[in-house]
Amino acid sequence: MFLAFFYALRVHGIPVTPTEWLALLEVLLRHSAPDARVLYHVARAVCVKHEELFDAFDAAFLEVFGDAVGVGAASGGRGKLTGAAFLQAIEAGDMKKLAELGLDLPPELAALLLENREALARMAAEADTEMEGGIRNRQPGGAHSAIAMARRRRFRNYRSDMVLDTRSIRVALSRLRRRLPTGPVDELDLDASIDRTCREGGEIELVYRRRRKNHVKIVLLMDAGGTMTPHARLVNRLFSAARSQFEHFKAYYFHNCPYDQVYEDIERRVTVSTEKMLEYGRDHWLIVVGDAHMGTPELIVSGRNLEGPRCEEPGLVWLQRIHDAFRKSVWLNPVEGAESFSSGHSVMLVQSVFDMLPLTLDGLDAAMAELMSGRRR
Amino acid sequence: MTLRFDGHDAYVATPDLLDNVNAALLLERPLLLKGEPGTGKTVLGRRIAEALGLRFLLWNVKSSTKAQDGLYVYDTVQRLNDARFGEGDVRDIARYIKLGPLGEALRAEERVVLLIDEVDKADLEFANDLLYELDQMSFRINETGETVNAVHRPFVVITSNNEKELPDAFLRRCVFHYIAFPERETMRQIVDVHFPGLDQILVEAAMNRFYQIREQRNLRKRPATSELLDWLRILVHTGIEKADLDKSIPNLGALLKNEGDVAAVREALASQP
Repeated sequence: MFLAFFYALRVHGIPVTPTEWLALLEVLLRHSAPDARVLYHVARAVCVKHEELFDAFDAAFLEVFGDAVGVGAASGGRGKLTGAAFLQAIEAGDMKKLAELGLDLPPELAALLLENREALARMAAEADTEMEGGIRNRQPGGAHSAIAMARRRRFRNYRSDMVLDTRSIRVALSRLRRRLPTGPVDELDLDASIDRTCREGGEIELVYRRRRKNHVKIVLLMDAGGTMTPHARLVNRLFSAARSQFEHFKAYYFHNCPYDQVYEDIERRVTVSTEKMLEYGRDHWLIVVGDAHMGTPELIVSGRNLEGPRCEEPGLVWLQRIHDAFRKSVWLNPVEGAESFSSGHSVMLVQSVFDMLPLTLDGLDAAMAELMSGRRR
Repeated sequence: MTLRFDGHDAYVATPDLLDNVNAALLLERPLLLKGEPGTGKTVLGRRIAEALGLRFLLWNVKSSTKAQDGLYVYDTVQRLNDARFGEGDVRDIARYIKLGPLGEALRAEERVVLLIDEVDKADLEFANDLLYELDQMSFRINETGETVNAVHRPFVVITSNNEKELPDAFLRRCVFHYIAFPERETMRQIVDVHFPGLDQILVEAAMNRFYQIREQRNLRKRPATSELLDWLRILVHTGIEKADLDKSIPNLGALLKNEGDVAAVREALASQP
């Protein structure tokens, strides 16, 4: 049962590693009075390193130990993930079998496990009995209160509590960096200074070098007006965060879909030709922000642009052109869940061109990772 | 011998916190603390040291801090200067090696508590650069060829405000404790510890106001424990009565540090009877 917990954690998406698991066993074995409460707290502290995963931990804990005290849903159906199977595989030194059980171990850990398999099997077995004994026999309330703690699931809403303010956006944006020596020549080069000083016979000579600066250049293209109005504040925060984060930063606006011209101001009065914006594509990366919510004809029928003189080419052609002009690009959508399948046709069409991610903390992080990774669709 | 932390008179530790601190002590692994700003992460490191009777070392991390700074700094410029002006024995490089907080903790004759405060302020690679030293509890001074091995593994407490993601390899080696925001009962104990013998009716009224503000949805920075304690200190000093608290919230600036938030709370109060 105890080892089943290990698998339950992994099934619930907690990346617990065998080393962490051994650490947990060590605490429980050396603890003077381990009970369910200690197990709950310590297992969480040793195996879970992000508070966003606490809820998944609670769910796993309930699934495995809920049964032991007769509360919680029956786990059922996870037959192959038993502690006994794990122990057998360990004792037999059968790494392949371990892999089948869903444990993909790095080779050095596998070797470590094999080396210590006897001690490990003994510890695991002891801990198993210890825990079962613990749950049933220790002071009344211990197990129940641990279950109760897990049941409260008080970390359920943790993620949604986070405010996407300018600072957290900047932190996410700061992942975009390529430091190249392009700054002013004002950094003291100590090694060169000492070298020069020695050559000059002890007369101190200071040598300066070029400072390394962030070389990432960004074009931010934002949808403004219409259905985007409810998201104006959020987009505005992203704009101000990006402006202060990147030295080479250009911002343009469009309404619904960019065609042959885009705007330099949010009120959409100063136009600039899209071709001109695309010139930045050589060394800039592109972040588009928009809900991609519009009538399908705007994207696929010519002459359906809402603003400016009639444009002969449909929106999708322009989107593709913009996408291709930039070395890297990503589309952030402020509408919750918009990037899922159930949203409108226009969203799906835009997604056929751009990688689309939600404008949330997670989405922003993923988008930045995407831009940094150097992959290109 | 394994040390055991049973709490501190001036710090209200919840049972899960005690369990986790003791687990970290037992495993001799760093304890990583996260939680809302103002919930007592930094104070905890100091209190653990006091409760265990160990020397306390603080390494305050800033955006410009490099991992190497924590181990030692080789002051070449001073040496160069001394060489130029002929002061001291410049042949003795050891004279120009200045140990940082981590270096000092590792060289200490006795076991110490080292607090690495706000680890997320530094560069993204900072935590990765410390992996080996925190694991092996030893480091080498390249300039003198000396290797420092810790006699007693220092107990390392690390705090983070979640500003940057910490690398997985680093997290795996830590015991993680998230200081959840104290519930009312715990908060009452915390207030008691800091203001023993304070009029319970006033405390009750102040806590009502405090949680009322915290529950407001649209705040950018919700007040936390340290703000409540500051606010209570002001209330006690100015001699506010419960009746005043029922009418309005004096010294709101102690609780809210953002003018938008102050306006939002005032607005919400005005709309209530």
